Amino acid sequence: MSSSPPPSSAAASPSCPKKMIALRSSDGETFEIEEAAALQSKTLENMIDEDCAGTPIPLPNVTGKILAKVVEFCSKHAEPGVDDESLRAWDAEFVNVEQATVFDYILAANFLEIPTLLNLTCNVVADMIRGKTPDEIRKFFNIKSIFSPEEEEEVRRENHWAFE
Amino acid sequence: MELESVGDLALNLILTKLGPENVGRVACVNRKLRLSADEEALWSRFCSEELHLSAPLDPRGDPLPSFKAAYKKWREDFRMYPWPLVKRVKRCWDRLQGWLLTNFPDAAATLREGASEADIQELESVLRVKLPLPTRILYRFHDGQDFDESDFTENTPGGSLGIIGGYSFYGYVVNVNLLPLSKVIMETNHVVQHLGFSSRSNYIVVAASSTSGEKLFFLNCRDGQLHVGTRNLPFDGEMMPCVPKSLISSVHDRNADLQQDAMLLWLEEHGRRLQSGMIKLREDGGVRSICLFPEEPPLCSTAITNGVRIRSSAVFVPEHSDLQNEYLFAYSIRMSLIPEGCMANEMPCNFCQLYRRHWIIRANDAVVAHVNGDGAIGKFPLLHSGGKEFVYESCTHLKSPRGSIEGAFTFVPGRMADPKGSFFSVQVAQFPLQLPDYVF
Repeated sequence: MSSSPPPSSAAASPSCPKKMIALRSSDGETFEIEEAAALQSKTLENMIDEDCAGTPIPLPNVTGKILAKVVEFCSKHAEPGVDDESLRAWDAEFVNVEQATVFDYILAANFLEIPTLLNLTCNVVADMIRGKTPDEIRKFFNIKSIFSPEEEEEVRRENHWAFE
Repeated sequence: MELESVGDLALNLILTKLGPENVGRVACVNRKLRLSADEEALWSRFCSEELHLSAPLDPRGDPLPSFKAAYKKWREDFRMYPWPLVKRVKRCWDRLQGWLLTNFPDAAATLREGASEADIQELESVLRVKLPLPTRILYRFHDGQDFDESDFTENTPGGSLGIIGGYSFYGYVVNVNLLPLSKVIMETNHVVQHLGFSSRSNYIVVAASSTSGEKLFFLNCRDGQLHVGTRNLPFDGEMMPCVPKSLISSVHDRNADLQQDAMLLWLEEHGRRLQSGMIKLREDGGVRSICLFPEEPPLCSTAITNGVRIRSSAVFVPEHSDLQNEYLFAYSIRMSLIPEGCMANEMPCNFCQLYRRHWIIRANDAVVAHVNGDGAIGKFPLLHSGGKEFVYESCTHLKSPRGSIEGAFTFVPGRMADPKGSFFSVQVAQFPLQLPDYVF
């Protein structure tokens, strides 16, 4: 069966409590996450494999506010017996948040290597961009940055087929 | 927190999901996004997904410095057409051309380069027609077939490289090729005058058999249907449709969701049949050509009796039929002896020879003829075990568009001059004679 568990976890028995991993956010908050849920993150999976799972794993790139939600996402996606349709609906609600929060989720998903979360959040951003003109995209995302008139003309010429 | 700061991996994923048009617009937002939007990996993927290009080539096949430049060139060259239709036409030609390059390179070499918009406009002005959209794009990719002197030999007086192919029986040979726009103009003017069509006719000649002037395909530019002339064509202009009418739609409407005309549907169907092996290349006397006799069930039947395998199928011959009561079907019989040979007096025998044939011909389900005769088309083929198929073609008239043929051959083990046992009967399993939904 499984190899001998690390010293800090509960002993194996038929109704043993699930193995929990501790995570610490950049602002010092601690969160517990079931191992099965943690394995959604390739980064965490590697750390668990290397047996660092005894002490809280420090995640300097993720704040407590975001980490709480990421833990929630991973736990939901590790839940057994959830049908596709309900999971999709849950995901839609999960990303029904402010633009800035979606970007934070992307950064966390990137850093923690959670493909499902990365895919979900990138889809959201793609949907925000789709069908908009460059001006509309700038307004929507509050993007500054100006091309010089020559650059503007050049890039429009290069991509004019995208506007027909 | 800004869009550009989500990181290159995430940006690339977002742009991949967006597709080429939206990525083109994102490039116009600011410098950072332009850099991400211009990444070759993205455009290489778009070129591969949309155009099946694995190298940055322009529509003529010439190399360009980047995938982004290539994609842009394709979109610009075809900007006057709905892009989904352009992709669909490319897929159709890719499939046909792919099959030809692998199986019949001599014919692939006859496919001309695409016509230009100017060429198409000239044809439209001279013939006073407006080509349906899918057909225009088909010609933009390849302007029919080109033949030179060497394609016409003693063995192939009419050429055998038509990509639609054909059939032959009793010395009557059909091989259909696609006409380039210049010949479309010539043939249409000639035929329309000759047949007395009105000068406002919407018909143009798009394909013809090079071997006999009798088989002509007409595209109706107004409704997008393809027709083939029947045997009454020279008398009253009778033609029959080549493609199910219900499939044709929106042939002149750039804004419709789906445009398909008969030419596109016809070529797509032909490509499918070639690729699936329903029709194959035939080699006869050293000459190769695309043969329209079906090779797979249910249109081709197979039966093996005492080691003799008979494969049989039929093809409808529109140019010698009329739509009132004369349907001509040609059929092809292929016979061979399996490697184990046949049994004669409980001993295996490596040869057998055809002696007699017996057919039962049905129209609908009623028997209309019994045929009994010696040999087949005057021949008494000798089959040897494991040898090549002996193939022959014949034909029959029916008064209805549906029927069947079945029967039996009588063989002698060994040879007629030196039999190794008594005659045995070999089944020809029933095969259908039917007016097809796609007529080639």
